[in-house]
Amino acid sequence: MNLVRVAYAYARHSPLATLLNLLLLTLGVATITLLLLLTTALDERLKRDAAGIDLVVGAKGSPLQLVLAGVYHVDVPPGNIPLGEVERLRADPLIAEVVPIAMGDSYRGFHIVGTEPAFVELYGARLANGKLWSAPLEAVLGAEVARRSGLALGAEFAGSHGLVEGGEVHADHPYRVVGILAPADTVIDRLVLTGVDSVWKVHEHEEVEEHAKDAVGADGARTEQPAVAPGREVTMALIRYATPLAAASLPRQINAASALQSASPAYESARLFTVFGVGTDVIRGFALFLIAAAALGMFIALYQAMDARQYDLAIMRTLGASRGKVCGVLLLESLLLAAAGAILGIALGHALVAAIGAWLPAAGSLAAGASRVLSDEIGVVALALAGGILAALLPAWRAYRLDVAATLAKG
Amino acid sequence: MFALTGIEHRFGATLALRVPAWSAAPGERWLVAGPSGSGKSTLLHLLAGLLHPSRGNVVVGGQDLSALSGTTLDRWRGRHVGFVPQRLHLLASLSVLDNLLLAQYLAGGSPGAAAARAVLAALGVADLATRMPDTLSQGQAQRVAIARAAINRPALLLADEPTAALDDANALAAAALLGAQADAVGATLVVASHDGRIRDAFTRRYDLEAAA
Repeated sequence: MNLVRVAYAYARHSPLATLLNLLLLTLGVATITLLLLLTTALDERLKRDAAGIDLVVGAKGSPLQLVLAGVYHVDVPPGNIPLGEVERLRADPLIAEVVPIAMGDSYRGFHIVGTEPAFVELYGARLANGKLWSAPLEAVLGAEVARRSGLALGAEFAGSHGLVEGGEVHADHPYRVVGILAPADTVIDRLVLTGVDSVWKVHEHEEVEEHAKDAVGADGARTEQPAVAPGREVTMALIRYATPLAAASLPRQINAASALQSASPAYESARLFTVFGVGTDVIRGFALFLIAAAALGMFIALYQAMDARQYDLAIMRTLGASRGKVCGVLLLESLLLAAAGAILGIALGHALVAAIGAWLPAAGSLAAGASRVLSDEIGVVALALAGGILAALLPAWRAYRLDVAATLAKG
Repeated sequence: MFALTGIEHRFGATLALRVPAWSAAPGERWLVAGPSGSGKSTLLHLLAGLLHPSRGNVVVGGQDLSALSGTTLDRWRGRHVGFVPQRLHLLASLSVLDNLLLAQYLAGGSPGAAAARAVLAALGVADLATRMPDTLSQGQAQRVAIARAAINRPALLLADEPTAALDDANALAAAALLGAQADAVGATLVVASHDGRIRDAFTRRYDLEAAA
């Protein structure tokens, strides 16, 4: 026999109130745990995808769009930029590396990116099979593309126009798989890589057709043609700085002096986080509300029970319990419940993340965090325990002040 | 075993109890008699150290209770006093056996389910050990409460109106059991009661008059 057993017996004696408060607390803790795990995984994912890229340069437009399209491949890119501009950037001493990318087609929803072999290193990937592309219409598949499409080395496939499924299929220019990347746990897993010239080649006929239409539509008065040769454009350039000093001057210089727009992935993804940070703040607030409701429920249950419990406490005092012990029983009862809620809630939070990963393949990489325990979770447990202590504070004070003789004399 | 001298106890301005002098030898069985409101419960609370008298001295087993307070007094009470309250107040969320084990634990004694079962057996309620208190009859609950008071082998066994809720047969049985348990553990027994049915079960009697 000890105080924990007494506290446990009391909690079990009113199962309905105990279970209700346990449920509220578990849900609150689970929600916060879920948020912690998902935002941490997402944050790390965004950082990992952009780890090798200091700056994205593309056509004028929204910098966020540049980053979403050029680094994370979740948005359509703004217009194209002339290849000449990219070559100019290569000459800049502040820049260590420039990797052009040309986008616009996709295969089964996976973006086809025309780029240079250096792109693979930017995303920390390496070949699992085959070789990198060297000739037009040779393609290297990201690990997830290979797994989901079932394409093997030597297989041929046709890209479709546009970045969503259902576009016009470029059946006359099929790609041939020459390499497959090992899983890198970055966005490159979901990309099809090829040379920039492949993308140009696939679209050459279109340019011709479109120009033909233009010519007809303009009724003899030919529309103005760009200075560079048709097709010699890329979508964006990914840049790695030669020196940290470049961050201070280069973006401003590019934005002011050319027809280009630069965007920092680190800055833009931080900005993105503040945007949906409002949403997670709301959910977090709701979770805190659940925990507070559980604490209030525990308080009400304990306080209501005090009218009946005072005789028990008086008896415990006549049996030799000190003031400290009788208020300890109340604190323990509340803490036991809080600890149970915290443990169940954290387990539930992890289980939910694992379930999300199992049901939504797209969130698979986020769910990898399901088995990981974050240091912030200690804070969640502390929060739940603090709620438990808070709930028991007033009842415990009443227990401490209990007048044993008067209570026994009452009945 | 105990000695009270010059006791007066007041609640606010009201004099609740006056005991000019009263003492008992070890092993004696005392009945404290007197009408309602004469301070019988208050007298028991003074003996148990649950109250300090407004005036006067309480010495139990050679210990001056005015010298003890707080945790020390609580510990002393747990070790030396067994108390059967009028309404019994078995802890409803604990089984009969756990009620006894709790008494052992709170008194700081070495825990032992065997000792607890032995006391229950001595009171004829061994088969109730796993029952919850709210399933017991009044007479059964009375026996369990006596067992709980006796489990730590107190030097002083106190009972407040132990027979008020019992029929004639059970009242006499309860008085007899209290006496038997007091003998078994070598305790001095003090029972506060205005119940005429059990008067003959006690060899000594202290009469309180209605407070002035």
